[in-house]
Amino acid sequence: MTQPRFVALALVLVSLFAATPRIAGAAEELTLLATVTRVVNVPMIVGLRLLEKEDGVKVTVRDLRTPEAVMLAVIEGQGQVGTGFAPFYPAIEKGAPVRGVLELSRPEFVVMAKKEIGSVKALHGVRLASHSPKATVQSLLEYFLKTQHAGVQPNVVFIPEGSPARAEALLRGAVDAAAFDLTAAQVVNERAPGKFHILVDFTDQPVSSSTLVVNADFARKKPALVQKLVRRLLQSYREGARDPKFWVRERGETLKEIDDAKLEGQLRALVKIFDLNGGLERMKGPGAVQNLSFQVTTGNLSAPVSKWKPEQFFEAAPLEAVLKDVGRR
Amino acid sequence: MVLALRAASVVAFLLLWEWAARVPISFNFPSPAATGAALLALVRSGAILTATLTSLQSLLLGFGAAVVVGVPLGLVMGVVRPVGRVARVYLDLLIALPTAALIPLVILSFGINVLSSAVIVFVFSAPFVTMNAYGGVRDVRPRLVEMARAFDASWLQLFARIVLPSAAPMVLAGIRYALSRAFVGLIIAELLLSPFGLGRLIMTSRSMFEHDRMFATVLWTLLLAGAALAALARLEARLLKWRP
Repeated sequence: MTQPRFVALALVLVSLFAATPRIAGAAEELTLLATVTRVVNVPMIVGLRLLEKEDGVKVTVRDLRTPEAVMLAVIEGQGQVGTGFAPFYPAIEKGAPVRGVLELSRPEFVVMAKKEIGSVKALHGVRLASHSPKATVQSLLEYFLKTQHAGVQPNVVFIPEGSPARAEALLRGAVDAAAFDLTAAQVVNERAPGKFHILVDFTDQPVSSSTLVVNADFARKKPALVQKLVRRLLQSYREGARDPKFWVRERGETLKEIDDAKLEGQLRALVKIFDLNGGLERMKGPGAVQNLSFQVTTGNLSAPVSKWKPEQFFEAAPLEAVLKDVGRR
Repeated sequence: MVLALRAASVVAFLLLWEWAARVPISFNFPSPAATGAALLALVRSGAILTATLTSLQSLLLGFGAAVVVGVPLGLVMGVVRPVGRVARVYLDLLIALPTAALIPLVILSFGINVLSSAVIVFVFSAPFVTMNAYGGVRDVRPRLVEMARAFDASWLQLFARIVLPSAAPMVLAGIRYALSRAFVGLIIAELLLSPFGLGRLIMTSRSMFEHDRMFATVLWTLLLAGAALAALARLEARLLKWRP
C-alpha cells in the first residue's frame, strides 16, 4: 500500500470511529457491594438489572463477608454503592463520607422458638441464637425486649454464619429459640412442621433494617445516576409487590438454584418489608427520629438522640425527585 | 548490639504505623497512641481481662489436648513404622484442611460453647505437634540406636535413653509452633464460631467502627501470644540444657 493510500485509509477509519454514535449510558458503570446474596436481596438485584436494561448502566455486584466490610469498601470508594446494615450508623458517627438514599427493607427478622416456649416471657434464660453483638437482628431483639418486655433476658448465643446456620441450630436442638429471617422460618416449618412457632415478628417494626448507601463523593459527582438507581429499585419494589412472579422472572442468574415456585413463596412472605415509597418516612421527619432513636437505644449510636439529625445520615433528595415523578403509594 | 537492633526495629515499626495513621491508609485507621490509649482503657475497665480469661479456657483446653494427644501419637508413629505410614497420610490431609470452612459443623456437633472453640484450637494445633514428634523420632541417628542395641539395651531403655532425648528438640519446637497456631485458631473460632472472649471484643469493636479498640485487642492478643511463646522458649532451653 502506497503512503497516500495508507494515510487516506487511516483518515477514513478515524472519522468512522469518531462518527459512531455513542450510547449515552453505556459509559456509566456502577459497583454495588453487598453482603452475601439472600432471598431478601432479590428485589434489589432485579432493580439493578432494570438499571442495566433500561438505562444502559453497567452494574457489577460484589459480595463481601460482613456488613462492616461493605461499609469500609464504600467509604474507600471500592464500590460506589453498598447495602448498609447496622454498621452504617456508627460509621457515620465516626465521620464516614456516606449517605443513605433509599430504604432497602424494613426488618425481615422473626424470633422462632420451640412450641413449648409459649410467650416472650418464657424466653428468659433460654438459649437463643442471634447473629452477632451489633447486628441488626440483635439490635432489634435488644430494642424489643428493652422497650416491651423489660426483665426478660434470654441466654443469647451468637452464630454469625447467617440465618440458615441459626435455623439448623434450632432444628438440631442446639438452641431453644433463634432470631433469623422469614425465609429461614419457612424452611424450619417445612422441615419440622408443628415443632416450632414464630414468637416475635419484627417485620412490623417502624425502623429500617437495610439502607442503600452511596459514597458521598460519588453522589456529588453523579446525582443523575443515583436518581436512576433509586428509580429502578423503586420500580422493582412496586412491580414485585403487585406480583412477586416479576422478581422470580427477572432475577437472571441470581439464586437460580432455588426452585421458582419456592422462591415466589418466600418472596411473597417478604413483600411487606419493602416500602413502596422507598422508606421516605424513615429518612425524614418524625419517622427518621424514631429510626435514629432505635439506633441509640441499641447502642449503634451514642446518646442522646437529640444530637442526631436525619440529614446527617440520609440524602432524601434523589428519592423525593423520583417520587415526585412516579407518585406516592 | 542485639538489643539496639531490636529497639530500632520496634521504633521503625511504630514510625511506619504512625505514618499509616496520618495518611490514613484506610478510614478511621488508628495511630499507635490511640491504640495504646484504647488498650489502657480496656485494661482499666476490666473488659479485656474478662475476655482473656474466657479465651484462655478454650486455648488451654484445645492446646493442652493437642499436646497430650499429639506428642504420644507422633512418638508411636515414629517408633511403629506401619502406624506412621498410615497416620502420616491423615496428618498431611489434616494440615491442608480448610478448618474455617468446617466451623458450622463443629457448632452443630459440639454445641455453642467453649468446647467448640477448644475443638477448633485443637484441630489447628494438634497436627503440628504430632508431625514434629514423628519427625523427631524419625531423625534419631541410627548409629545411636545400633550402639544401644549392641549394649543389650531393652526396648524401654532404648526409648527412654536414646529416642526420647534425641526427639525432644523437635517435639518442643513443634509444641512452640503449635502454640502460635493455637492462637490463630482461637481468634478464628471466636470470630466465626460464636463470639466469646477476645474474638467477641474484636467483632464488637469492628462493628462499631471503633478501630482503636479493635487494634488494641489484636495487639493484646499478640502480646499474650508473644509472652506465651517466650515462656515456652525458656522452658525449652531449660529442658534441653544438656545439649552441647
